[in-house]
Amino acid sequence: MFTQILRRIATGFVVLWVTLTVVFLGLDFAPGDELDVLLSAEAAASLTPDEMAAKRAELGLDRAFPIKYGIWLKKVVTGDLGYSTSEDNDIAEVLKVTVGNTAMLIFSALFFGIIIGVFFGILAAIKENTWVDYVIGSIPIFIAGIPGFILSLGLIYTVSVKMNLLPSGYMHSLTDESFLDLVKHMILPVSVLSLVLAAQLVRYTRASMLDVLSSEFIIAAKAKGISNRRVTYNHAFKNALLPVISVVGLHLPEIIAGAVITETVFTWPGMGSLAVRAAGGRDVPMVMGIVIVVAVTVIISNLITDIAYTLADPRVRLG
Amino acid sequence: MSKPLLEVSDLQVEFNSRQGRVTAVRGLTYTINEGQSMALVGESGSGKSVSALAILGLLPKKTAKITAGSIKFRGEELIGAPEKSMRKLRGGSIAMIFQDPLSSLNPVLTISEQIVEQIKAHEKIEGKKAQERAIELLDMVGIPSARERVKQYPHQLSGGMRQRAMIAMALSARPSLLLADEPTTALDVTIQAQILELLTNIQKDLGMSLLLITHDLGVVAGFTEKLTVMYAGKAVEQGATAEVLGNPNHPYTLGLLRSIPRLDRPRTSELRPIQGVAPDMSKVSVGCAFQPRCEYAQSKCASESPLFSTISKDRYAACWYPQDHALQDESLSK
Amino acid sequence: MQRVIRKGLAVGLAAALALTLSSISPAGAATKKPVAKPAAKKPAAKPAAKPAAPATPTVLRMTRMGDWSNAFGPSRNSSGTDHLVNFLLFNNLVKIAKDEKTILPDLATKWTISKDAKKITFELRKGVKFSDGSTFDSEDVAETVGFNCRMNVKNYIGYAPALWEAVDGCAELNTKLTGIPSGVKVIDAYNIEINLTKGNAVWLRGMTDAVYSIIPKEVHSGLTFKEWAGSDFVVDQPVGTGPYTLKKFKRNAYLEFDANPNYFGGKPKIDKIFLYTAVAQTNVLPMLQKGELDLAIDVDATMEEQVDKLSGYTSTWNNTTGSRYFQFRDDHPTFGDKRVRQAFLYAFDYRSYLKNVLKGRGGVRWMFPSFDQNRGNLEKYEYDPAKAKALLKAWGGDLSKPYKINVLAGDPGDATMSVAVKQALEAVGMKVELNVLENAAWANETRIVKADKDTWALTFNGGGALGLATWKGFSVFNCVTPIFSFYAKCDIPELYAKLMLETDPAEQDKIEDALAKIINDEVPFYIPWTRQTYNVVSKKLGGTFALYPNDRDSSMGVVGWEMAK
Repeated sequence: MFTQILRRIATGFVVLWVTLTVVFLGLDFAPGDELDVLLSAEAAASLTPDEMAAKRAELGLDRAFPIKYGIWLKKVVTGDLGYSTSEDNDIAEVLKVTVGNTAMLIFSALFFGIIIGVFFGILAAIKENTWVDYVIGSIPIFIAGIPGFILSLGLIYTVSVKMNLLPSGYMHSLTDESFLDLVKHMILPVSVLSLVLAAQLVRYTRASMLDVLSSEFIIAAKAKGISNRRVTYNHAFKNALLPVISVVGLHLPEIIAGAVITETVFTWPGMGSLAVRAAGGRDVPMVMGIVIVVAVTVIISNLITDIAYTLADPRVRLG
Repeated sequence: MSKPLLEVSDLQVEFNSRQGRVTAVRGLTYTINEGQSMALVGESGSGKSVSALAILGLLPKKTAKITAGSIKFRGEELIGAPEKSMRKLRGGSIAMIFQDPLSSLNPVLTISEQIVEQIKAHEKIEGKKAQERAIELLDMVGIPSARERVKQYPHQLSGGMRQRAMIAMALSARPSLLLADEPTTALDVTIQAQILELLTNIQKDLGMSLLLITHDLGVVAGFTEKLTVMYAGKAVEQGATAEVLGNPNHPYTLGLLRSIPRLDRPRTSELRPIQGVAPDMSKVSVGCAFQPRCEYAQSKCASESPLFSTISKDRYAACWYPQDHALQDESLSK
Repeated sequence: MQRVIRKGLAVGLAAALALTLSSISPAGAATKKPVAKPAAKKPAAKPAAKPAAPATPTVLRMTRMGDWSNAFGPSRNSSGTDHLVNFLLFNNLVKIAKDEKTILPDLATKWTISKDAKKITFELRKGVKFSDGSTFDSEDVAETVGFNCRMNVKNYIGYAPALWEAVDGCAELNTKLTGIPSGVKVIDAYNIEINLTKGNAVWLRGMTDAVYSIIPKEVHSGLTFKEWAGSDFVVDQPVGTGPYTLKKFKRNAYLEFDANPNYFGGKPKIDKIFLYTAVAQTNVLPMLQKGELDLAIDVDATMEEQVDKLSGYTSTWNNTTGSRYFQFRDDHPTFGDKRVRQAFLYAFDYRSYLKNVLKGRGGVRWMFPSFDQNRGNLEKYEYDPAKAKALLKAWGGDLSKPYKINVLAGDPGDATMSVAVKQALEAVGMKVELNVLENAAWANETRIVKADKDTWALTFNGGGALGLATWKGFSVFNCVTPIFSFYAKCDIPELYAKLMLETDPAEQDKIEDALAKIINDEVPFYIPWTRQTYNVVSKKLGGTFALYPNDRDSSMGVVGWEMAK
């Protein structure tokens, strides 16, 4: 298994390299560059085309693609992500803070999303074709029908503005850096992300659980005289969880994408807001830094999903 | 030894399916004494597996319903018995093994976990001791290097080994009755005999009763003392295995025998499969259910349903003209 | 987790209760104020998030939409928010009055300009302290000039301090790590002389821009540009003489400022300012509804209706220096003729467009914002299609060829205006083709001179603070290497050059008159109106509070602002 994990990691690096190259190429082909955004109309007006060209050269924007790419790749390999002009800071420094903030959201969302989704999925399966099942079954359709953006705004308006229970955005209140304050600020964005995830998982878990509950080994398990609880959780649940694990793994990029929107709406100082600013500012090194983090996260999470799947299902071996 | 252990009388089971109501079991009566083995034979869909699940109270609650009859175990009624006492019975006094060991063993739990779980469900025992017991059981059912095997997952064992493990599991609480639902059907032909032999040996050694459910009349010949033949949800013939096979009273039993290739018959004698198809179980039939396929049917057969009644000592059949067919068979074997 | 939530709810409920109680007393206080209408009985201001207690300092919580550089000091300056922050923290030698003409003392109390406009001497304010406690004197000014020269304006992103480069000997310092240019002479601790390579009579006026802030000498000595960009000063510990000092910089959240008790203009009346730097456009309204903001500058105007429902706020529309302008390609086969450009202006009823489509949210102009447009006999180009047709007829060119108008994709202003312009031109017999371009393509097309003169005839542009000062037009009308305007004649640059050498105000006026006349008649490009921004102001902001057309004036005004407790 160890060598297989190593092989997967090696493949991961290849995937990472291909991803980064494609994104870099795409950004290079996109019209306009950093300078177009950095310079205001007035600032641009005060420069002659020669001066503009000089500034381009200064920023290294005038080089041919292979040279730009080579320089960038060499730096990245040596761990130098470069300097972000839009954030005016080292990219590594910027990422250190923002990645942590986003991870806080995503991990909480995964935690609550999985718990809520799996719990209600099982409940719906056990109570198949009862009103409990119908209620649980209809809520995800409702949630899936609302874009995350609207859901966020709706929560802000009701919970934050009307009921005044929670803050409407940001990570901290002014001058309050306490943990409790942070938790209060996390509740709404985490709710949005975890509800969206849970809505997906409820359906998968329910279907998977029903599938398992009708299998022969469940009847066999019942025939052994063990308790219903044990049949449900030790026998059915463990098997029903298998497809759920891969669904979570597959949805992770979606969750990250959802975090971009959610962060922007809630002014959460994470990678999502950063990505929006970096893209708006045509800050190629910053965008690439974010792409690296996201790509690595997705690759690692796929690996973790595979390992988790292997641990959960003895029939599967990493290959 | 002659005390009745399991008494099933006039059992009727109904299913609600998309096609409507299906009466899967339409009157099944048999008794298994302590230490006795009985085979329940019938085509697939004849209701034999359903009747086994009915004993354990494991019929799907939402769709199936026992509409009549009684199932008594050691004289106590099981139909409508509280769930708690039923659970004690399941895997305890009455154990069951299934057709396909691969799909009836939980793929994500080790053999050990699955056996220990059952042991623990029926007696207070330390985990370590239960583990040891599991190994002993595997040993007993002939699994080599049981100590290692016990840690493995079902998919790591061969088909025969899996069924042996399943049997070991069933035996874990020392049941007095073992229900074996097509235990060899999914197995390799060479393994089938081994498993059946194992089952009968254990049955004799442990003095346990056995209900062997099968569609294959051929496999029961040497293994069970008693035989019940089912057709369309009903028992059509019952008696000592050797007698029934040697001298079938019901034309359906006869038909089954004719359709099996036998070494004791000349090769030239042709196999004669039963003509026609099994009846639609969602329809109520008037008269004998086998009548449309029966070559001996007479007008009475179409209008009145024959009762399951005594033909001779310990021989029962549901046929208006039972004796004739036995003679026919004798003439045929020449 | 559950316990935490419960606790959170409890805190929330307690806060709500406190708010209800506290909202009663200010209501009583409010009636004491002189109010014009007697109907002052209705509940006063919506309770703010924090109940006001007598001892609490006055706090202003504000935001301004748009980027902020995430760094401090003159080397990063490209947005209105940067201006705002800079003027809270720093001072310049001189500042400019709201008339955009009168120069006022700041760190310099007196100044003289030589007749050839090459030598400027300053007498500096005494007793000024930087926020780190050091005393401000001529050395700081000299070192600030030296610093800007050493950092090399080419490294600057955004607005570069080009006027420091005009100081004699500046260029020689480009590669050095220490030293001041030869053109700077420290006479004594509070007198300094600055010599320019070329005479520039409007140099002093330019000195009022945010990039010419004076910073203490200790912070930059011996640093390369890269080291400077990563220095404490730039990252999060700026030191200045301004009315406020930076207490905290929470990246992508807010800036916290404290009033500078030693500010030479007197301690500001508002004790604390929180400037949110990264509010999502969608989050402004909820924050206002919750009473978490006292001032929101240049925010999404679509929320006006919602804001008007809030009792604690007032919606205001303010004229800005930002302008909408039509940019002609003057070397275009058709628009190269000024009669066609004039015809266009007569054909497009900009007054009614502003009134009907933009609901009057703008100030009508017929001249650069930096010029007094009421001077002389400037043509106002009032809507007159007959005149337009007559001009086109006089020109006599081919009207069947379509004229391409570059439209910025996704810009709602451009989308509606381009259609109106198309209709206006077609009504006078011209053929028009709208060329919708994405951001970068638009910039490329519009800024870079293409050899093919027929590529486009007109684009719409939303300029920033173009023309805050008349002299800035100099860079716009560049006949040698035209980039911003395609006006190829050199009469305008010549007049600008003259203006820059003229120190006599009366003569300056004459030159400006002549300039205005040419620009108005030739129409190299045209500004129909200046933009208005939508701002939301808490009713608690009283005293001398006012938002000015530019962020610089507004932020300088902060010193006088007051908050009702």
